[in-house]
Amino acid sequence: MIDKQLIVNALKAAIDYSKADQTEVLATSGSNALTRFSNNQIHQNVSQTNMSISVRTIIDKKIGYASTNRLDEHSIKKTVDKSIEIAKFKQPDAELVSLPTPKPIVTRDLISNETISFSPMDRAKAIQKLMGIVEPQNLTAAGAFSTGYTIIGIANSLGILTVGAISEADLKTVVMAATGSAYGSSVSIDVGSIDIERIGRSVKKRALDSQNPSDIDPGVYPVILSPDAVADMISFLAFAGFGALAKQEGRSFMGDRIGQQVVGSKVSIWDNALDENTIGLPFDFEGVPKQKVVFIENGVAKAFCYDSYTAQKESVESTGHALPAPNTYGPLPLNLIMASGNTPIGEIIKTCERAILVNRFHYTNLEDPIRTIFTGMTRDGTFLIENGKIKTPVKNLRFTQNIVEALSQVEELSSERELKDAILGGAYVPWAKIAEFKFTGATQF
Amino acid sequence: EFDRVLGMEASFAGTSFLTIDKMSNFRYGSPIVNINADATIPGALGTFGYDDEGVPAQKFDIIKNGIFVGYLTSRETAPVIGQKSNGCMRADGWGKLPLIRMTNINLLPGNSTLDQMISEVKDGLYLATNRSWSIDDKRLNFQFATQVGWEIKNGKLGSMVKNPNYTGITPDFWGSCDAIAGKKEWRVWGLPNCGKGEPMQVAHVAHGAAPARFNNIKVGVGR
Repeated sequence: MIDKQLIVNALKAAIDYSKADQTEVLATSGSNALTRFSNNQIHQNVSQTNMSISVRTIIDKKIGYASTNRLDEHSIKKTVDKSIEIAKFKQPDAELVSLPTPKPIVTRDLISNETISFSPMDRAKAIQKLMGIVEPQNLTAAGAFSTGYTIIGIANSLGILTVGAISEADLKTVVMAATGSAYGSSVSIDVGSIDIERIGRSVKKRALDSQNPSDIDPGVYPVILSPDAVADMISFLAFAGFGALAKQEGRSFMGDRIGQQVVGSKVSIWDNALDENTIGLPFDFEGVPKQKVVFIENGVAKAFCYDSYTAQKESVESTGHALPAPNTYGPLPLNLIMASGNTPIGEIIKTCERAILVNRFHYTNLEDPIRTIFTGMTRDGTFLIENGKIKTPVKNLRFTQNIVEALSQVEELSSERELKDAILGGAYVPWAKIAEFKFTGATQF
Repeated sequence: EFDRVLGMEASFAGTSFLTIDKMSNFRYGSPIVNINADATIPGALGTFGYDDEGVPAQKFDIIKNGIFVGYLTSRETAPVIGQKSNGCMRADGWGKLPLIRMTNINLLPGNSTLDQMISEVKDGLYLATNRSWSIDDKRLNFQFATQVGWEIKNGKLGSMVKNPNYTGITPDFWGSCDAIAGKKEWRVWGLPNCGKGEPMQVAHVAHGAAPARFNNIKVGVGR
C-alpha cells in the first residue's frame, strides 16, 4: 500500500530530464480520509488520494517553480519545462548560492499499518462510541476523525534523494451542553493509541462542569494554560521569531539577544523532529537532515533555525528547517518541544489563590509580530480557581498579550506534557501557570 | 452561513449567535446598515455562474435597514427554514465536499463621503487596511488590527498612529455605524484565502465596501 517507488521514480525522472543549472524536486503522494460529525451525527465523510510533484529550477540564479498532480512521464517533463520557462523570465537572486548537497539522514519508522487500513466504518464505530458516552447526558458532540498517510520525497541535481512516509490519526471533538462546552483531541501515528473512552469521559465531565458560566470582568489575572493553549502560544512565538529569516530581516524578538535572558528561567523551547514524542520526518523540504535546535534554554536565547538560503547568507550550515518551495516565510520549526516541570497539574492548581484556568484558545492571531503581541478568545471551558480549587465556570474572555512577557512570568510548568496540533506542525508541551495574563475583553457566553 | 447556525462547523470555527429565531426581528446594525450577498458582481472574486449544487448565482439581502433578514444557504440547509437555496455552496476543488461559503458580501453604499465623515469627528481615528483578525466562536466579540491609522482631531487628519487595533461586540459595533460613504468611494475588495471546513478549504470571496464611521469604539487594546 505504501508505494515509495512511485515517488522515487518521479523524482529521478524529473532530475534526469532537467537541463537547468540546478534542480530540486518535491514529490508527494498520500491518502487521507476524514469523518466529520455534528449534532451527534456523522454529516460528512470524505477521502482523498492524490499525488503531486513540484519542481524548482535555477538558471543563472533565476528561480522558477511549477507543479502538477500527474506523475506520468509526459506530465513530469512538461512541469520541468514550465519551471525552466518561468525561471528565464525572473530576475536573478544575487544572494542565492546553491541548493544543498547530500548528508546522511537517519531513518525513522513513522508508519502504522493499523492507521493506514482504518476504514470509514472503523471511524464511524469510534465516533459512535464517543456518542454513547455523551448522549445520555443530553450533550451534543461535534468533531472530526481523520486517518491516512503521506509519502514525501525530495531530490536535487547535487545528489540528494530521500523519501519518507508518515501515517497520522487525528481526533478532535467539541462536546456541548446547553450553556457550556469542552474540547478533546488526540493525534498519533498509530490510531490504536487514540483512547476514545478516555477522551469521551474527560470531555463529558468538563462539558457538564462548564455549564451556567458566570460573568467575569476583564483584567490581568494569574492563569493556568492547558497544553492546547501553550502549544498555540509558543507556536506563534516560533512563527514570529525563531526562524533565521526573521532574524535577518530584523523582525525577531531574539534578534541581537543570543546569550541573553529573554524569558523566565523555567522556559526551555527546542525543535526536534527525531524526538519520540513528536511526529516528524528526519529531513526537511530540501532533503537536508533535521537537526535539534534549542531556541531558548532556561530563558536564555540560544539559536535560530535555518534553511540553505538563510544559512549560506551567514556562512553556517542549514539546520534542516526548510519549508516547501516557493516559501516566503523562511525556515520554521514544525516539531516544537517545551521542557516540563516537576509538579503534576493537580498540585499546581492547589497553589492558586485566584486564577483563571484556560482549556483552549480560539482564533488566535499575531497583532504585532515584532513585540510578539497576540490576541484571541478563550473557548470550551474557562474556569475560575479560588483557594486551590476549581470553583466556577466563567464566560469566555478575550486576551491581548505579549507572549515574551507571558513567558517571563511562568511560575510553574507541569510534569505532564501532551502532543498538540499547532499553527506550525505540532508541539509537545506542558501546562503552564503564569503570574499575569492580560484579558482585555469579554463575550456573552 | 446557515450551516454554522445549524451546528455543522461547531468543532472548528464554532456556531453563530444569529439563531433562527432572530430572523426578521433582530437589530444587527443601525438603520443605515444594509448588507447583501451578490454572486453576480462582474469581475469580483466571489462571483460565479452556478454554485456547486447547480443553483444560479444570486443577489439577496442579509441585513436590511439594520435588521437581520437572511442567511447564506444551500439545497442541503435551506429547507430547514422553508426556503430554496440562494446558491452559496462551493468546494475549493474536485476532491472536496462543497460547503456554504461567502460569495461577495457587501456593505451597501450610503450617502456620505470620507472627507465629510472625517470633518465631523472631534476626536477619533481613521484606520485602514486590516492586518489581523480574531472573533469568538459565536461571532460576537471581535478584534482587528490595521496596518496604519491616523488621529482625527477637530475634523482633520493628524499624526500617524502605530499598530492600531479595535474591538467590539458585533451588533453593538454595527449599531454604532452613523455614516457610510457613497457609490463613488465604494469598491469590491477580493480575499483569496478564506478558510473553512475540515479538511480545510480555501475560498475566493469578496467584500464590497466604502469608508464608514463607527462611534465609541474601543481602540488601542492591550497597547
